[in-house]
Amino acid sequence: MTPTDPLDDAALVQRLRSGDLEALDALFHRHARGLLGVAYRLTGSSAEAEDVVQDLFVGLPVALRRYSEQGALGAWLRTVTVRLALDRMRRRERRREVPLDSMPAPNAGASSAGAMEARWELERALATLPDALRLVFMLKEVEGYSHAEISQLLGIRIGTSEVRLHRAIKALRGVLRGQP
Amino acid sequence: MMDRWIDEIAQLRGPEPSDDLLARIHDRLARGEHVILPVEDGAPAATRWWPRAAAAALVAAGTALLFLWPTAPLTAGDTQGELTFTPATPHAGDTVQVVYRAPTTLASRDRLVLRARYRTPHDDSYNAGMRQIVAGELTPAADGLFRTSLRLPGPVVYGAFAVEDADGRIVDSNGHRLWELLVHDRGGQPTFDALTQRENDLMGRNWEQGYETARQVAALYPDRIASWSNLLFYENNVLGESHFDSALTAHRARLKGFHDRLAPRASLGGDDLGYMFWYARIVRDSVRESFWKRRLEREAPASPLAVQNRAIAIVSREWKDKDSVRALADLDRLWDEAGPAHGNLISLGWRMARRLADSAALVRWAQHSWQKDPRDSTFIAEAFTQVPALREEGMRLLREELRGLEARNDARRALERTVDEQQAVDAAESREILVTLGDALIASGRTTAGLDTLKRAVRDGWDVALLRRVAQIQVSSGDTAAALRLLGLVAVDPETEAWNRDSVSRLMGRPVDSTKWSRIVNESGDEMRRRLLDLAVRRPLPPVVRLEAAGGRAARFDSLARGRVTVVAFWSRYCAPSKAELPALERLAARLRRQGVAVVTITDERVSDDLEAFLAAQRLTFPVYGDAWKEASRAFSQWGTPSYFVLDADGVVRYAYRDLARIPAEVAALQ
Repeated sequence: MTPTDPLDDAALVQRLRSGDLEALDALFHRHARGLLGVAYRLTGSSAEAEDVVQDLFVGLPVALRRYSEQGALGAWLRTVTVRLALDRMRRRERRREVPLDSMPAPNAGASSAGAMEARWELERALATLPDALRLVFMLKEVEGYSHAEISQLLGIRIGTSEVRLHRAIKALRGVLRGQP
Repeated sequence: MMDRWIDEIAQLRGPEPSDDLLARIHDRLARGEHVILPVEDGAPAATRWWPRAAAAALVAAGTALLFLWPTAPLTAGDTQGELTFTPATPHAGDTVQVVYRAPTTLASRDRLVLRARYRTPHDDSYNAGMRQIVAGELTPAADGLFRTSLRLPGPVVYGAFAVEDADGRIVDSNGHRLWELLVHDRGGQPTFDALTQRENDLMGRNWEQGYETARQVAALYPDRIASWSNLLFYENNVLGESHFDSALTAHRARLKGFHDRLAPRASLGGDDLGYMFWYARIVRDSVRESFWKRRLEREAPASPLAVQNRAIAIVSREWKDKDSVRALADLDRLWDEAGPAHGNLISLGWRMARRLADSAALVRWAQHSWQKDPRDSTFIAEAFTQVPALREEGMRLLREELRGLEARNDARRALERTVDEQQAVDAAESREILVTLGDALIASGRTTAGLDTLKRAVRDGWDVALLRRVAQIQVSSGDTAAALRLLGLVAVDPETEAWNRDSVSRLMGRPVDSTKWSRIVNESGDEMRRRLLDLAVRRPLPPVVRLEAAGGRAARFDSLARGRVTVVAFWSRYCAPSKAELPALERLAARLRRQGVAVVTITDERVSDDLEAFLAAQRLTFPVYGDAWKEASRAFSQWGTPSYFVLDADGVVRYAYRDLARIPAEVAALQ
């Protein structure tokens, strides 16, 4: 059985629905790292990403009662994570707060100094994007949502989503090629 | 062809989960925390921020999410009079004549009390930390009107007022709107500061009125960057992001205008620099954001937003180099330089001190926090109780808090609240403090005293998360009989679904005899009803309340309830926080209807084809009525959406609050 075997997910969901919190642990070990990545790429903050994932798993036992087993659990968890992250970003705007990791650290996952430097550059480039552009870019190119889905998630028009993606790519190209 | 780096970005991994992340999740679950996940298809997450933000603000205000009405059987019409100020457009420091036409319930008194909440230009949004005062004593004249005069204290720019009897048991809050005074300039215009403080006062009370005030500020003070920065916040969060998008072009053009005008100036104040930085940030102009950030930090390094940026830079560096000791020292130095300039500096310093479990630093940052807000004691006391060296001091602070809550303190009583309502709010807050105190006593080895304190904390009230938390402490301290009784209460709360009821008993950590468990659960049902009915109020409605039904015809409210327990929800599709709760309301309404409960939802607009189309698009099937004649708002003394009421089968309001999750339990108590 692979770590993301959907059949296994379904069994874990069933166990969690019947109140077995050990199933929550299994789901956490299986999905948390990927979901942290989703939340981190959207919020730009490791602390907020952890808060998002915490909220997700605290709410999971109740929310799973409404989860329809027609789709893959992983995709559903990602969508809920995206919504939680967007929600959190809007809240911090009112408090006039900026993400704590506004200059992200080099990622520990890189295998060599060169690769680490390259990834550091990518993360730095992403950090320069305004939230509106970074969100659309991440949702479309990294998380694989359609423009129609992004328009629903962000409450914007499909055309707006397309324009923002275009601008995000253009801006990233500029930064990565050393243009102002 | 897609650039290779896009693929590389897709490969970027996020941070590794912290070692204790799963433990923290279990800790929250064990405390019975509820997180409602945004799982609705097609429901934009844009508006979901409010319920939790507002809930946090309400909790901070100590309201325990309950608005309790007077216990005396009074209808709204009985308690609403008319208050007038002369001049209505005072200048700072003016003396104002006050005339009050009292409603029948207050008219026979020989004196009434005029209470006020005064705001000065630097007061924060929300009313959590605001003090209320007696502004004057109203006495009756021969014409039957009550009169007094008051002098606005010098720095005051805004005042909100309510009238009550001498005992504080009947309050006229103008149907929760309160009466207001705004300081005006010599040209007869409300001052910028007065309007800003009105916005701050409305925060969490009525978002639509807050937005209207922000529009008024922008219209009257278009040359102030703060006007537009603030308006943009409301456009985004009250009207929703699709409106925000359409407004963005105009805001960007305005930002450019401000930039062209202000950038060449060599000398600007910290406020202007900070607002330019923030305005550029929220209109997503990264180039100008960077420009103003640099100037802000260079020219006004001790201004609030600059201090926030500097504190974040320190914490970001710590995230990379893991040198928390150095980060804490840098935050200390920043405090020495800037003091309580921005709340985030305090929260970051406090967080760093907690992470290091450095008791001296905890005391130091607690003192900083008190310097900014002397009332911030409970979370500090709670943190102290978790550090052995500070535990006794933490318990001393908790006892001090409890003593403060036992005494009547009108300064912290909201203007809309009677003395009895405040007592209920204080009791709920005391229960939470008692649990923390009991926990700390047990941790310090005084187990008997700790268990007694816990029992005192949960002998009344209905807070499932608290019951669950106490049960778990009791289990780990060996008081299993008490724990089982509390778990029985947790099991019968309607929010504990049937499938999960038996698993509640597993929190005991050992098998529980099923016959015994069934008996406890049965007894707990009666206990839940008793506790909830203790919290209920009685507030009859006027005999006739008209609503507008489909097709424009009038419907009488009492004919809709027809002798059943009834849930009434006021909502507005033009209020983003209210709109965000509609899917949850739809689910709850369907569930309640199956239980034979009447559900009446009332919106603030006329019934129209457009409204019907909105309901269809949102897939909302609950019955909707328009408050065409405003009779419902007056009858329920309701102001601001969303708000919810539960009525008994006699049509009397028994619970009124802003939290959907509490409705099932209250309905169960009345059925």
